[in-house]
Amino acid sequence: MKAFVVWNGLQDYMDALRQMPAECAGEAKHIVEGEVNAAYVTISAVYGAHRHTGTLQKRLTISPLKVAGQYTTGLKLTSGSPIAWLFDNGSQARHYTTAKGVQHDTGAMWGKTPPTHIFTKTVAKGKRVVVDRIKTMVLRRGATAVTET
Amino acid sequence: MVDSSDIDAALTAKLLADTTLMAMATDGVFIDEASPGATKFVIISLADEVDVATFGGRAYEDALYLVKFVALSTAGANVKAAAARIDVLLENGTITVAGYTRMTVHREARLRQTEVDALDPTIRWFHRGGHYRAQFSIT
Repeated sequence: MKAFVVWNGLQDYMDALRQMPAECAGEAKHIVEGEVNAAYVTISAVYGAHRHTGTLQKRLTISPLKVAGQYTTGLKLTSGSPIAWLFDNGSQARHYTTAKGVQHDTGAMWGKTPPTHIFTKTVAKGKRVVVDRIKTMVLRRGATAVTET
Repeated sequence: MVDSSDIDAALTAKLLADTTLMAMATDGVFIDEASPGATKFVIISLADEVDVATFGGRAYEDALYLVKFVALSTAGANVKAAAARIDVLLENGTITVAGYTRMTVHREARLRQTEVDALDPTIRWFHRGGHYRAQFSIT
Protein backbone atom coordinates (compact mmCIF):
# COMPACT_ATOMS: atom_id res chain seq x y z
CA MET A 1 0.00 0.00 0.00
CA LYS A 2 1.38 3.34 -0.99
CA ALA A 3 1.60 6.03 1.64
CA PHE A 4 1.63 9.69 0.81
CA VAL A 5 1.14 13.03 2.43
CA VAL A 6 -0.55 16.03 0.93
CA TRP A 7 0.61 19.44 2.15
CA ASN A 8 -2.12 21.86 1.40
CA GLY A 9 -0.70 25.25 0.70
CA LEU A 10 2.83 24.04 -0.01
CA GLN A 11 2.68 25.42 -3.52
CA ASP A 12 1.54 28.75 -2.16
CA TYR A 13 4.41 28.68 0.31
CA MET A 14 6.92 27.87 -2.42
CA ASP A 15 5.52 30.66 -4.58
CA ALA A 16 5.79 33.06 -1.66
CA LEU A 17 9.41 32.06 -1.11
CA ARG A 18 10.19 32.68 -4.76
CA GLN A 19 8.57 36.10 -4.59
CA MET A 20 10.28 37.10 -1.38
CA PRO A 21 13.58 38.43 -2.79
CA ALA A 22 11.76 40.76 -5.17
CA GLU A 23 9.35 41.93 -2.48
CA CYS A 24 12.20 42.42 -0.01
CA ALA A 25 14.10 44.42 -2.60
CA GLY A 26 11.05 46.57 -3.23
CA GLU A 27 10.53 47.31 0.45
CA ALA A 28 14.26 47.85 1.01
CA LYS A 29 14.25 50.38 -1.82
CA HIS A 30 11.57 52.40 -0.04
CA ILE A 31 13.53 52.23 3.23
CA VAL A 32 16.73 53.42 1.58
CA GLU A 33 14.95 56.18 -0.33
CA GLY A 34 13.24 57.40 2.82
CA GLU A 35 16.43 57.61 4.84
CA VAL A 36 18.51 59.17 2.05
CA ASN A 37 15.81 61.80 1.57
CA ALA A 38 15.69 62.43 5.32
CA ALA A 39 19.48 62.83 5.40
CA TYR A 40 19.27 65.24 2.47
CA VAL A 41 16.70 67.38 4.26
CA THR A 42 18.71 67.44 7.50
CA ILE A 43 22.02 68.34 5.84
CA SER A 44 20.44 70.84 3.47
CA ALA A 45 18.81 72.65 6.40
CA VAL A 46 22.18 73.06 8.16
CA TYR A 47 23.86 74.17 4.92
CA GLY A 48 21.03 76.63 4.41
CA ALA A 49 21.49 78.07 7.89
CA HIS A 50 25.12 78.86 6.99
CA ARG A 51 24.32 80.20 3.55
CA HIS A 52 26.85 82.54 1.95
CA THR A 53 26.98 81.80 -1.77
CA GLY A 54 24.58 78.86 -1.59
CA THR A 55 27.03 76.42 -3.18
CA LEU A 56 26.92 73.99 -0.27
CA GLN A 57 23.18 73.63 -0.61
CA LYS A 58 23.10 73.71 -4.41
CA ARG A 59 25.66 70.93 -4.76
CA LEU A 60 24.04 68.56 -2.31
CA THR A 61 22.58 65.96 -4.62
CA ILE A 62 20.98 62.51 -4.68
CA SER A 63 21.70 60.24 -7.60
CA PRO A 64 21.02 56.56 -8.38
CA LEU A 65 23.87 54.27 -7.38
CA LYS A 66 24.80 51.83 -10.10
CA VAL A 67 24.87 48.44 -8.46
CA ALA A 68 24.98 45.00 -10.01
CA GLY A 69 22.40 42.37 -9.21
CA GLN A 70 18.68 41.89 -9.53
CA TYR A 71 17.85 42.48 -5.89
CA THR A 72 20.10 45.40 -5.06
CA THR A 73 19.24 49.01 -4.59
CA GLY A 74 21.20 52.13 -3.85
CA LEU A 75 21.21 55.91 -3.83
CA LYS A 76 24.20 58.20 -3.58
CA LEU A 77 24.06 61.37 -1.50
CA THR A 78 26.85 63.71 -2.56
CA SER A 79 28.01 66.98 -1.09
CA GLY A 80 29.92 68.40 -4.03
CA SER A 81 30.87 71.88 -2.87
CA PRO A 82 34.60 72.62 -2.75
CA ILE A 83 34.17 73.61 0.89
CA ALA A 84 32.07 70.59 1.89
CA TRP A 85 35.09 68.82 3.40
CA LEU A 86 36.07 71.89 5.39
CA PHE A 87 32.52 72.44 6.58
CA ASP A 88 32.38 68.90 7.90
CA ASN A 89 35.91 68.57 9.26
CA GLY A 90 36.70 72.15 10.26
CA SER A 91 38.74 74.91 8.68
CA GLN A 92 41.31 77.44 9.79
CA ALA A 93 41.46 81.17 9.23
CA ARG A 94 39.86 82.17 5.97
CA HIS A 95 39.39 85.54 4.36
CA TYR A 96 36.21 86.74 2.78
CA THR A 97 34.55 89.91 1.58
CA THR A 98 30.96 90.79 2.32
CA ALA A 99 28.47 91.93 -0.31
CA LYS A 100 29.17 95.51 0.77
CA GLY A 101 32.87 95.02 0.15
CA VAL A 102 33.94 94.78 3.76
CA GLN A 103 36.92 92.46 4.10
CA HIS A 104 37.09 90.03 6.98
CA ASP A 105 40.50 88.51 7.36
CA THR A 106 39.86 85.79 9.90
CA GLY A 107 37.22 83.15 10.32
CA ALA A 108 35.08 81.46 7.76
CA MET A 109 31.91 82.98 6.44
CA TRP A 110 29.86 81.10 9.02
CA GLY A 111 31.92 82.36 11.97
CA LYS A 112 34.14 80.06 13.98
CA THR A 113 35.06 76.86 12.26
CA PRO A 114 35.12 73.79 14.42
CA PRO A 115 34.13 70.60 12.60
CA THR A 116 30.36 70.36 12.14
CA HIS A 117 30.38 66.67 11.07
CA ILE A 118 26.90 67.30 9.72
CA PHE A 119 27.36 65.10 6.67
CA THR A 120 29.26 62.33 8.46
CA LYS A 121 26.95 62.04 11.44
CA THR A 122 23.73 62.37 9.47
CA VAL A 123 24.76 59.68 7.01
CA ALA A 124 25.99 57.43 9.83
CA LYS A 125 22.68 57.78 11.64
CA GLY A 126 20.76 57.11 8.42
CA LYS A 127 22.82 54.01 7.77
CA ARG A 128 22.04 52.68 11.25
CA VAL A 129 18.32 53.25 10.69
CA VAL A 130 18.43 51.54 7.28
CA VAL A 131 20.21 48.49 8.73
CA ASP A 132 17.74 48.25 11.64
CA ARG A 133 14.69 48.59 9.42
CA ILE A 134 15.95 46.05 6.90
CA LYS A 135 16.71 43.62 9.73
CA THR A 136 13.19 44.10 11.06
CA MET A 137 11.77 43.59 7.59
CA VAL A 138 13.66 40.34 7.02
CA LEU A 139 12.65 39.02 10.45
CA ARG A 140 9.05 39.99 9.82
CA ARG A 141 9.16 38.02 6.58
CA GLY A 142 10.20 34.87 8.36
CA ALA A 143 13.94 34.90 8.91
CA THR A 144 14.89 33.40 12.27
CA ALA A 145 18.15 35.33 12.62
CA VAL A 146 19.97 38.12 10.82
CA THR A 147 23.73 38.41 11.00
CA GLU A 148 25.49 41.63 10.07
CA THR A 149 28.82 41.21 8.33
CA MET B 1 28.83 55.83 36.99
CA VAL B 2 31.06 56.19 33.95
CA ASP B 3 31.81 59.51 32.31
CA SER B 4 31.87 59.39 28.52
CA SER B 5 33.99 62.52 28.36
CA ASP B 6 36.77 60.49 29.95
CA ILE B 7 37.13 58.68 26.61
CA ASP B 8 37.78 62.03 24.87
CA ALA B 9 40.22 62.92 27.62
CA ALA B 10 42.04 59.60 27.35
CA LEU B 11 42.48 60.01 23.60
CA THR B 12 43.81 63.52 24.14
CA ALA B 13 46.16 62.35 26.89
CA LYS B 14 47.43 59.50 24.72
CA LEU B 15 48.51 61.94 22.02
CA LEU B 16 49.82 64.56 24.43
CA ALA B 17 51.99 61.99 26.16
CA ASP B 18 53.88 61.14 23.00
CA THR B 19 57.04 63.22 22.72
CA THR B 20 57.53 62.35 19.04
CA LEU B 21 54.12 63.69 18.08
CA MET B 22 54.40 66.71 20.37
CA ALA B 23 57.72 67.63 18.76
CA MET B 24 55.74 68.10 15.54
CA ALA B 25 52.45 69.37 16.94
CA THR B 26 54.10 72.01 19.07
CA ASP B 27 50.90 73.92 19.80
CA GLY B 28 49.29 70.86 21.35
CA VAL B 29 46.14 68.79 21.08
CA PHE B 30 42.72 70.43 21.04
CA ILE B 31 39.12 69.34 21.13
CA ASP B 32 37.23 70.79 18.14
CA GLU B 33 39.10 74.06 17.78
CA ALA B 34 42.66 75.22 18.29
CA SER B 35 43.57 78.28 20.28
CA PRO B 36 44.15 81.54 18.36
CA GLY B 37 47.56 81.77 16.75
CA ALA B 38 48.22 78.04 16.73
CA THR B 39 49.91 76.83 13.54
CA LYS B 40 50.89 73.20 14.27
CA PHE B 41 48.43 71.15 16.27
CA VAL B 42 46.17 68.13 16.51
CA ILE B 43 42.38 68.36 16.51
CA ILE B 44 40.17 65.71 18.07
CA SER B 45 36.46 65.98 17.42
CA LEU B 46 33.55 63.64 18.04
CA ALA B 47 31.92 63.06 14.67
CA ASP B 48 29.30 60.50 15.61
CA GLU B 49 28.36 58.45 18.64
CA VAL B 50 25.81 55.83 19.55
CA ASP B 51 25.26 53.97 22.79
CA VAL B 52 24.50 50.30 22.26
CA ALA B 53 22.16 48.84 24.81
CA THR B 54 21.59 45.33 26.02
CA PHE B 55 19.15 44.06 28.65
CA GLY B 56 17.91 47.59 29.20
CA GLY B 57 21.29 49.13 29.96
CA ARG B 58 24.21 50.70 28.13
CA ALA B 59 26.54 47.92 27.03
CA TYR B 60 29.11 49.86 25.07
CA GLU B 61 29.73 53.22 23.50
CA ASP B 62 30.53 53.38 19.81
CA ALA B 63 32.17 56.64 18.78
CA LEU B 64 33.66 57.98 15.59
CA TYR B 65 36.38 60.57 16.15
CA LEU B 66 37.97 62.91 13.69
CA VAL B 67 41.66 63.05 14.58
CA LYS B 68 43.82 65.22 12.35
CA PHE B 69 47.08 67.07 12.32
CA VAL B 70 46.73 70.64 11.09
CA ALA B 71 49.57 72.92 10.06
CA LEU B 72 50.02 76.28 8.37
CA SER B 73 52.12 75.92 5.23
CA THR B 74 54.72 78.39 6.47
CA ALA B 75 55.12 76.63 9.83
CA GLY B 76 57.51 74.04 8.42
CA ALA B 77 55.69 71.04 9.80
CA ASN B 78 56.14 67.49 8.63
CA VAL B 79 52.47 66.77 8.02
CA LYS B 80 53.03 63.29 6.66
CA ALA B 81 55.07 62.18 9.66
CA ALA B 82 52.65 63.70 12.15
CA ALA B 83 49.61 61.97 10.63
CA ALA B 84 51.52 58.70 10.52
CA ARG B 85 52.47 59.08 14.17
CA ILE B 86 48.83 59.65 15.14
CA ASP B 87 47.97 56.44 13.36
CA VAL B 88 50.72 54.50 15.13
CA LEU B 89 49.42 55.71 18.49
CA LEU B 90 45.72 55.12 17.88
CA GLU B 91 45.44 52.08 15.61
CA ASN B 92 44.87 49.26 18.10
CA GLY B 93 46.57 51.45 20.66
CA THR B 94 46.42 50.94 24.39
CA ILE B 95 43.98 53.47 25.82
CA THR B 96 42.88 53.17 29.42
CA VAL B 97 39.64 54.79 30.57
CA ALA B 98 38.27 54.42 34.11
CA GLY B 99 35.07 52.39 34.11
CA TYR B 100 35.50 51.14 30.57
CA THR B 101 37.16 48.30 28.71
CA ARG B 102 38.57 49.12 25.31
CA MET B 103 36.98 47.00 22.59
CA THR B 104 38.63 48.58 19.57
CA VAL B 105 40.25 51.72 18.31
CA HIS B 106 40.96 51.70 14.62
CA ARG B 107 40.89 53.97 11.61
CA GLU B 108 37.89 53.78 9.31
CA ALA B 109 38.87 56.39 6.75
CA ARG B 110 41.89 58.44 5.85
CA LEU B 111 41.44 62.20 5.54
CA ARG B 112 43.64 64.68 3.73
CA GLN B 113 42.85 68.18 2.58
CA THR B 114 44.75 71.30 1.59
CA GLU B 115 42.84 74.44 2.45
CA VAL B 116 43.69 77.38 0.23
CA ASP B 117 42.64 80.82 1.33
CA ALA B 118 40.09 82.36 -1.00
CA LEU B 119 41.78 85.76 -1.14
CA ASP B 120 45.41 85.04 -0.43
CA PRO B 121 46.45 81.76 -2.07
CA THR B 122 49.82 81.86 -0.35
CA ILE B 123 47.98 81.00 2.87
CA ARG B 124 47.48 77.27 3.01
CA TRP B 125 46.54 74.92 5.79
CA PHE B 126 47.30 71.24 5.61
CA HIS B 127 44.88 68.80 7.27
CA ARG B 128 45.78 65.14 7.53
CA GLY B 129 44.49 62.33 9.71
CA GLY B 130 41.49 60.08 9.80
CA HIS B 131 38.19 58.98 11.22
CA TYR B 132 38.86 56.62 14.12
CA ARG B 133 36.28 54.19 15.44
CA ALA B 134 36.52 53.83 19.23
CA GLN B 135 34.36 51.33 21.07
CA PHE B 136 34.48 51.03 24.84
CA SER B 137 32.33 48.69 26.90
CA ILE B 138 31.09 49.52 30.37
CA THR B 139 32.88 47.43 32.97
